[in-house]
Amino acid sequence: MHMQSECVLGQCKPLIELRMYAYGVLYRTFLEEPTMDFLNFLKDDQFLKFFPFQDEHPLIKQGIELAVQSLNDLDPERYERIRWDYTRLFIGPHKIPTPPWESVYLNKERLIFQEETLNVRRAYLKYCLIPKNIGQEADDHLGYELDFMYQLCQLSLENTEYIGSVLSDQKDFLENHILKWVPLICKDIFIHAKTDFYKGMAICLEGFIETDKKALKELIDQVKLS
Amino acid sequence: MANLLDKAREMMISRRKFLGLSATAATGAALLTLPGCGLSKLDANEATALANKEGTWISAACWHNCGGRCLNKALVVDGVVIRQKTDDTHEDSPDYPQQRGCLRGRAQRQQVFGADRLKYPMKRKHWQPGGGDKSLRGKDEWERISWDEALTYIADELKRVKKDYGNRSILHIGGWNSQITEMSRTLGLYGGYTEYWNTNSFGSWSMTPKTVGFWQLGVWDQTVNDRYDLRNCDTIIMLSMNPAWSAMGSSSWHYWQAKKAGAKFIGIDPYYNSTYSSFGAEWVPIRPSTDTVLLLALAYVLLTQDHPVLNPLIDWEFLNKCTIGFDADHMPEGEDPKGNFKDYILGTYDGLPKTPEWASEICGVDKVQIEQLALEFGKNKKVAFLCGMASARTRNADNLPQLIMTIGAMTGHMGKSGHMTGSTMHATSGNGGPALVNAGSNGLPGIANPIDDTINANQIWDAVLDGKYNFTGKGSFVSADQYQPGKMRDIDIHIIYHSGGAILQTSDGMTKGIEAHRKVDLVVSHSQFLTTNSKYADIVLPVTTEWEKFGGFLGGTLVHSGNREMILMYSQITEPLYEAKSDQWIAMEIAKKLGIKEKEVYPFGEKQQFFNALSSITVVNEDGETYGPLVTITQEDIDKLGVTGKPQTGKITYSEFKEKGVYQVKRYQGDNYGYIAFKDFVQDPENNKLSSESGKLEIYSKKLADTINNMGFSKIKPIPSYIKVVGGYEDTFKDWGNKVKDEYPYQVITPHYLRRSHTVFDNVKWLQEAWVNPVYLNTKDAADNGIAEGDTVLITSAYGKILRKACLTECMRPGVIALPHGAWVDIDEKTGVDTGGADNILSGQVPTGQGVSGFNTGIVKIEKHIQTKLIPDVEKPARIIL
Repeated sequence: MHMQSECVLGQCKPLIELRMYAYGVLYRTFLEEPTMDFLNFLKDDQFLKFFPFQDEHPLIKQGIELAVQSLNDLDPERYERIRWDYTRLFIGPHKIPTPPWESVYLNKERLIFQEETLNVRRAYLKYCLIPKNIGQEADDHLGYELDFMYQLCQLSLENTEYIGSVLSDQKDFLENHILKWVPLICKDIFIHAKTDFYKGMAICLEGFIETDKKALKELIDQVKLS
Repeated sequence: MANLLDKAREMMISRRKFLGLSATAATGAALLTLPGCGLSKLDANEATALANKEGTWISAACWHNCGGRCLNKALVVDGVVIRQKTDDTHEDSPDYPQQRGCLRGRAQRQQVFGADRLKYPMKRKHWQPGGGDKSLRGKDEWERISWDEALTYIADELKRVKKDYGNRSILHIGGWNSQITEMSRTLGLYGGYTEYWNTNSFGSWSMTPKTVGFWQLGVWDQTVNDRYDLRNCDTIIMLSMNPAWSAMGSSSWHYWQAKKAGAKFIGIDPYYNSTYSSFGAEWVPIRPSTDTVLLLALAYVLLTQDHPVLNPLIDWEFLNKCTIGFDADHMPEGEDPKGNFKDYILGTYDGLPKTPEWASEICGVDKVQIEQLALEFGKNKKVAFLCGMASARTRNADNLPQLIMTIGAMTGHMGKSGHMTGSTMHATSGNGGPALVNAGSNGLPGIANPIDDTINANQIWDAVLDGKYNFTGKGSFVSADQYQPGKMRDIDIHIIYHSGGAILQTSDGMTKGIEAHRKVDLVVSHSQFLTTNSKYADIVLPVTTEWEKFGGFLGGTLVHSGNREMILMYSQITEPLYEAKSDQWIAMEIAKKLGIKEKEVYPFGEKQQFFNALSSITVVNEDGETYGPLVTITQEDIDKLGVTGKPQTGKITYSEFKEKGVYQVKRYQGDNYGYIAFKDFVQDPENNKLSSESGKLEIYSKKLADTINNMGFSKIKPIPSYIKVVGGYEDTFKDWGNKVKDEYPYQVITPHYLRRSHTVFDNVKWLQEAWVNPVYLNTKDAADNGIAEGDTVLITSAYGKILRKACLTECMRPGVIALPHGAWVDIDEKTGVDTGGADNILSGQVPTGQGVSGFNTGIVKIEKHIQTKLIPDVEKPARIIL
């Protein structure tokens, strides 16, 4: 049994690690306004340049190229523009063109804190995860949903006995939640963003979640085989 | 197809990159997790409990100034509202109606949980202490800041401005009264602030009725009997009223019972609105701001056609016993007898009898219809002569309430069953009488404002820009110190603090208002969305809605809070969204930064305030006279709330009241809760003196004329008389005699509109879709200007331009356009034209009389606008259509 898990893990580990890399960058990109440190981290440490799966999906490649380019000559002025772009797209105070919550995209009335939010919350609760300010911040924010996928990746690496069920929950979450609305917001962000950084990251995100659907299928099949 | 599992093993560089971070951390992953960011871990038991939470129905506040006040409930699962319902606590009947919510209350979720709720304090990018680039207010970029940063900026600016210019330079606006918001407590303790005042909904009912004695139960709209008595009326004459839209809740239901009992309805109004059409009213299509003229002519007909035996129209006994000033024999001592009302009407001294023919030229009502209308008032008919205050929200209408009183007095329609005269509106429309449930008090001591500067709405923006204004007294329109003789004062405003309300949007002369906002050093605004106040601010503070507070009460007073028969209690629905804070918290935190002790601002907290308000609610006993506590409170309740208090016995337990959300007195025909206004006075005037100087109804009121004439805005006579209205019908002509129209040939009125409660709800999609907010044009007027249904219309006044789509109707009298009140301004910075259709872009700063905001006085021109096609409000800005 132990040997088997080891074996499974050995096969799956690289792919899970890379997915973790991808989700890690993506959730940080969309959860909060960018700090100068974060953008430098992406740029100087070439974290963005080596974003995985660029050869696997044209959108990921395009998106990353655009985003990398946008961080050339990252001076304070350019940083300000990127920061204002995030504020304008996702915070306010004007009407936000791309409200980053699942419930807004999936319910007719375009509100936050709806039934969709509760469904997402229940998915998190299964893993004892919740937004820090639960009840005050809507659980189905794009950043949180991507963070959830990130954390489950980590969990699957640390708990090989349960890797099967964790991967299965990731698949459900991806298909029942993320894939239902994130492709729509990615297209909207591409239209409404004024900086290439967010345009690029949106394209990348759209491509990556499509890729992840395939990745999860392969991982789950691999686990079944053992 | 490539196999990702295999490919992953080959992506060495990426993996190394990712894992390479482990040089300095446990796993590379850790570096990508920053503190406070992302999902947190929760204890397993807590997680299970949360996941299994079931829904409960909770009474959800509906707290708006909508003209109603109803019970709404939300089915809540852990802070998420699944759906809503309204009052189902008892069967609905005409006697014991449910308090049913309207479309706005049912769209409340959309307001509270709108994606566009302000979630964080924000600062305009180019603001600096002192103002920064002030010209960018309204069009700047924004940054999210922390609460501490926001509060520090505000406190520092308050300190600087107080030190350099004094407290008078702080203009604190809270809505209709600067003293009603939480910030007024902090600013009062900090040395005070300049106030803003206006006549808001009341127009000339603000000061006139009390002065002339047309006043009962301490308010302006209780000279009307209770709702059962309406069913005793033969005729219900309505002047500028629309309870179907402006007094939602049970009001129209009450009028409907009168209709079923056989009453005939007449509607005097430029607009044949939903109320009149529901009751099949006869339409008297009058021009806006000409009601005084019409009523003077009615008096003429009554006087000239009255015959005590053959045609008794006038109740002379009532006039002689209950009024002063009607004729030369009943003039007050010391006044010239020639100044009496009767001789004025007959034209004895000015050579101008106020005939229907004279009136018709101005008010637009056919002279035959004027005569017939007068006869409807005859003393022997059971008449209710009711009005909304729309007709008094016009300039130069200071005598209008007095004139309405005069007509009612002439025909004896006061003080007895089946007869009533006066204004009736908002939550108490059609339902007069003392409150059967009296709201309690939160027990907080009041905090006075040591500064007396108070600027009227018709001067406020000019005052900010020009540095001077006419001071007419301290405080709001209900202050005992307002309406004093006017004196010019200098004023130098450096901070505009909007602690609530929507004054930049709802005050006369918004174009000037925006200019004024671009002059001062700092503009602060508390709001839940980017309202107009916030749009032009430097720092916006996100505040909680009533759904995010512990709980509270609505109703239980006669002053626009709810109807007399019930009180509502609401409870918390959800946690404060994101970083939204309550106004009290903000007031306290700024106080701390200004060096004021918390306990001075709030001696006790919100829970104790709630408990005080709960325990002091009283309700009438069955005798209809005495009152007792409403709520039964046990020691256990007190301990659970964690407050100080004593147990008490009432009519409903705390938990039942909380669960139901409403307490309503059950009424039935013949109960002890009836009310006939002026009954005691009419029976014995000497021992039941009214609020006027003489103690009687003053058809001639020296006090009224002196008060207004000394204020210094414009002049009136002590009797109701014809005064040419500034910006009224006559001003649409450059040659009155030959009826040659001038530049602005149409009159504009701004009726209340069901999409909104004033300005609130304007951003809710459901309501935008259901109520499209057009400009209403008479079909023929539209044709004269080449405008078809749905065309974009450019409406221009001397003060600004707006765009709206046309809705053509026969229900608007010719010469009048109706622009729904309250739409949020949205100026196209390139052209200066407002695409939002804001009523106050068309209005100007023109003070008259008692300082009335003349929202229904205005003249405009209309043109078909082809340059831009107006996007329907529901589609702004471009977003995905699901």
